Amino acid sequence: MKWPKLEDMTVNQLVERFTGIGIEQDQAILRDKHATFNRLFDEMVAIEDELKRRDGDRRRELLSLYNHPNAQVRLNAVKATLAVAPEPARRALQAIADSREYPQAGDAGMSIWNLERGIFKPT
Amino acid sequence: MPPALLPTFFSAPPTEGNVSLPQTPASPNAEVLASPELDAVLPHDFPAAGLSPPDYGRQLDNMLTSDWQPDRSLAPAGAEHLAFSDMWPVVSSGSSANRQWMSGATGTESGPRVVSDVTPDNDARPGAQYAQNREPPGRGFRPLIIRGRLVEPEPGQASRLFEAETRAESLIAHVREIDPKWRPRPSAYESVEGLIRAYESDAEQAQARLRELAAPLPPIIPRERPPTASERYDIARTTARRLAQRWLAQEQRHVVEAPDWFLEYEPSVQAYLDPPKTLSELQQAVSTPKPGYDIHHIVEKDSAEKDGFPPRVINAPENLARIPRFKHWEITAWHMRKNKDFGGLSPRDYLRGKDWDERTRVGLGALIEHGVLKP
Repeated sequence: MKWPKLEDMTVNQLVERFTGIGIEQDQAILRDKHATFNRLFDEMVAIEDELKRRDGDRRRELLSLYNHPNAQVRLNAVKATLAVAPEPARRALQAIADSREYPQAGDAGMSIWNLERGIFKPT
Repeated sequence: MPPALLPTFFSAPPTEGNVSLPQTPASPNAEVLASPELDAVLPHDFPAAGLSPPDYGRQLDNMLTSDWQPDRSLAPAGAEHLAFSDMWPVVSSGSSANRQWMSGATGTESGPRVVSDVTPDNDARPGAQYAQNREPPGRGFRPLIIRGRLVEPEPGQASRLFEAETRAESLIAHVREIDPKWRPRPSAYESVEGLIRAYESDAEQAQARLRELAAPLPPIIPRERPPTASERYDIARTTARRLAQRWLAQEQRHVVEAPDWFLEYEPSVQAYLDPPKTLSELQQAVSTPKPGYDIHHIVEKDSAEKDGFPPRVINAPENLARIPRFKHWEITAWHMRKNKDFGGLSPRDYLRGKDWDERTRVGLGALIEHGVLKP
C-alpha cells in the first residue's frame, strides 16, 4: 500500500501505519532481517514525530494499541507514549516484560532497566 | 524422566499434508479488542480515541482456533496429552484474587460502589470488584461512582453489568489457576456501558488466554520437512517461544507431538525453556558443550575487537557463558536493532567507544531480561 506523506495523513492513518510497522517488525525479528527492522524503526519514529507535532501532541492516540495482540505493536506503542502517559506506559511495559513473550519481553525489561538507569529519557 | 519444566517430544510420522504456519495475528485494519474509552487508563485528561477499532479478537480467535487436531493415536502409552479437556482447570468459585474495593470506605453492601480511575498496586481492574459488593439482577444495583460522577445503572444495564462482571470474574479465575500472574490488559470506561464493555473485554482476553494455554501447540509444525534451514529454524524458534509463553506458566511437563524432522531441533527448543541460572553456572558450563547451547560473549566480541579490546579480555572465562542457542540469537539480534532506549541507536552502536564496565553492565542486563541469568 502506498501511503501519503506523513503530513497529509490523518491521525487514524498514522496510527494504522504505526500498527502495521510493528507487525512488519515482528516478522523481521523472527526472520533476523535487521536492516528491515531498522528501516521500519526510522519510519516509526517519523510517525511519532508527526503525531507529536499535531495539535495537543496526538501520541496519546497510540495508547489504544496497548491492547493489541501483537507484542511488538504493544511494545512500540508503550515506548512511544512514555513521555505523554508515563504511569500507564510503565505499567504496560512491565506487563510485556512479565509476559514471557520473547523477544519483546526481553526488550521491555531492558527498557525498564534503562529508564531506571537514566539511559532512556523519553521525550 | 525429563526435568519437570520441560516438554517431552515424541515423533509422529508424516500422515497428512502440511499444517500451515500461523500468520501474524492481526492486520493493520483489524479492530481493537477493548473499549475505545480510555480515560480509566489515563485518569483525567485522556482524549477520546479517534480510531475505528479493528477486530483483533476475531483474528486472535482464528489464530488460536486451528483446524489442526493432534493425532492422539500416535502418542505413547501413558503420555500426557495437551488438550482442552486435559488442562481445563477446575476452579473453585469465589476466587478473591481479582477483587478489590477502591473507595477507601468500607466496601460494604450499603454504600455506592466506586469505580475508581486510580490504578491499584495489584493487577486487578482499577476499581473493579469482580462480583462482590453488588447485588444480583432483580434486586437492583447500587449506584456507581465513575470518574467522580454518581451513576445509577438502568435496570437492563444492571443485569448486563452483573452478567459481564460475573463472567469476567469466573474466566479470570480460570486463567489464574494456570497462570497466576496473568492479568487482562487495562481498558477504560467512563460510563456504565463502558464498564460493561471493559468487563466483556476482560472476559474475551481471559478466554483467549485459556485457549492459548490449552490449545495444542503443533499447528506451527508442519509434518513435512520444510526445504530450507531458515524455515526449519523459524518453526523451531516459534515453537520454543510458544512453549516458553504457555507452558512454563503451568510448570508442568507435556508432550509435544512432532514429526521426525523436528527432532533435530529438540535440544534447542528444550534449552530455550531453561529457567534462569546464576552467572557462575553459566560460566562453568562453558567447558561442557551441549547440543542446543552456544558459547555467548557477555560483552559482544566483534564490537569489542573493533574498539581495540585485547582477545585475552574478550575471551576471558568471565566474559563467556553457555546459554541456550535461541536465547543467544535473540540477544545478539537485540544488540543489532535500533532502539529508543539508546536514543535510536542500536545497543551495539551505543556501546561503541564505551568502557568495559558499561559493556558488561549492558551484556549482563540483556542476559537477565531475556530470562537467561538470575537477577
